[in-house]
Amino acid sequence: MTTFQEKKNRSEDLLQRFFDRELSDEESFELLSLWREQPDWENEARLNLPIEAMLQFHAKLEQKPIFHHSPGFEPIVLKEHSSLFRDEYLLGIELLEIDEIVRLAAESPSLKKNPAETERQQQKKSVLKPYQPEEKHRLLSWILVPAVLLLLSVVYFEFRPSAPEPSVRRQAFRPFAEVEAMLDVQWNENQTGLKEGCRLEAETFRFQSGIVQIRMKNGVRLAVRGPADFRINTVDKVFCGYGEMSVTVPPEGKGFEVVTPFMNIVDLGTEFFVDVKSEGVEAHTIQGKIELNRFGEEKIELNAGNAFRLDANDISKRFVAEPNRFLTELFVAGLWETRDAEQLERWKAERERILATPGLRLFLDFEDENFSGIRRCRILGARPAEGLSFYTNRSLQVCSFFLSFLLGNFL
Amino acid sequence: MGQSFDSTAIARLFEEHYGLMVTVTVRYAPLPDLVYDIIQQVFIDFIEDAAKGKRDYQKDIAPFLATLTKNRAIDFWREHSKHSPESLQRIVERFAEKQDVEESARDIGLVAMRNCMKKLPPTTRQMVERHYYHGTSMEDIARQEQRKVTTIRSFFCRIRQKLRECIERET
Repeated sequence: MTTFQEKKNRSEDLLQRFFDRELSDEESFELLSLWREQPDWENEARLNLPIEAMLQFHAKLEQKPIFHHSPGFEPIVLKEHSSLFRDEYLLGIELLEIDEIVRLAAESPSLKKNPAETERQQQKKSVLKPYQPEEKHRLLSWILVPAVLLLLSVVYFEFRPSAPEPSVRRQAFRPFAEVEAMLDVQWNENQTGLKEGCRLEAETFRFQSGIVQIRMKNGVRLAVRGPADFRINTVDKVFCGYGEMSVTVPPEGKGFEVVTPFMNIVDLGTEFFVDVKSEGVEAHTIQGKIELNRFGEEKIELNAGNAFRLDANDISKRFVAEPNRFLTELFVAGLWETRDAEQLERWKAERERILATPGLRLFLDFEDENFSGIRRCRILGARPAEGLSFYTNRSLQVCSFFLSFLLGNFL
Repeated sequence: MGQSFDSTAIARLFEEHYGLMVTVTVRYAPLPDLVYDIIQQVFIDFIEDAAKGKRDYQKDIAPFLATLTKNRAIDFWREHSKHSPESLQRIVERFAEKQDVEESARDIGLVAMRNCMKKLPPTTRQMVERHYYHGTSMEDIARQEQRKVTTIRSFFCRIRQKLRECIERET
């Protein structure tokens, strides 16, 4: 005998098959009969419908944006950045290359599925079509059209603007963050090209191990220890899906928000840590105060020295903050100092090796303090000595070049 | 070529009403996979209306968009139902008949939906993304999760229910 729960599960199973367009005739009747038996299930299905529609609609929108293109109009494509499936928050549109619009139009099921509609659309568009000369006027056109074109060309070349406006609008690169430092980072497969000093717009980071430090334009500093999966969305918002993040917020960055799958953490002027794992999230306040926005719950304020844990089963716990577990600003500064000192030692060893090279004619170590920073390292035609590269830190900027024997001989 | 109206502003207005258009669409054409096509068509109508320059877009355009969407949804469903099996039509018509008009006029805000998606446990959210965003079938998800496919389908019903409850709280 089928239990109530089994029947309910069956009705849910059939509803999903209906949404996925997999329901057979027989199953459709079965679903209707289950609904007759339990009208509540039908009501639930009805409430499910708009949510399913939103999910399907936005998923399709990701693959193929809504567009408009017909004669007499500049092509418009809605590039919806406020996605359900990505973390950007911006809304926007773009005017795209005509080729892309044509490709979208060709792929559009709305135009393929409904021929009558397409025909109506074509009729509608035809109102906007440019004037077509009739047969009897064709001869006149042969004479007039080139004449008009010639005249227009003369006028254009005479009065053309110095810098014509581009026909395609592109979004400008507006970085709001910078990779300040990295230590022993083991990136995930698809993550390449990020180096110290890289300036960033919205960017996703995925790495297995190591530490990445990012500085936002408003002075907020993030230090993240891998394994981590996070995204900087805007100057005042990041999404952390996984990993351990230390956040230091200066007064001008107040309100900075870390979004996690479990709760959102809003800074109220402070230093705090966030640790996101698949089983839950922890927030630790080191200085100042943070605000925790939980799923459908009242906001919680967390003062310095306190921590809060929320697990995937919605069980929460308050406890004493554990700053030693995390990358404090002081600890991170120490890491960079150690790294720089190690680099300096490596350079000194290499310098000794170079100085001991037989036949060396010239060696410049650029230690002269009359030159500042990286400018000391730039010599046309020179290349860094083996094993060395340009590098900088806050207190020390050193580099070395080993000029060729040829140059040495000339000297 | 170039239209005289501000296409950026007009398009943005349109984007801001996706939630409303989705709910109106499922009121008159209750098949979720038709929604995208209908809204695409509504956008064409909307731009061509805007080009006439007769409407004041500073005022609330929600009623106008709802009407455009309703008309398009009715057209689409009429055309679509000609080729659909009778049993499917019966389910769809049942949905349409009993839809609460007030409920269907509600705009499911994208921000609310996004927030609620984020509140789902990570494994659940990943499953939602696999099915809708990456197009993974229920059968494949069941295989990957080592569960029965019927269990996964029921699970998705509960996810939607959770999302709906969350959206109600958010709005």
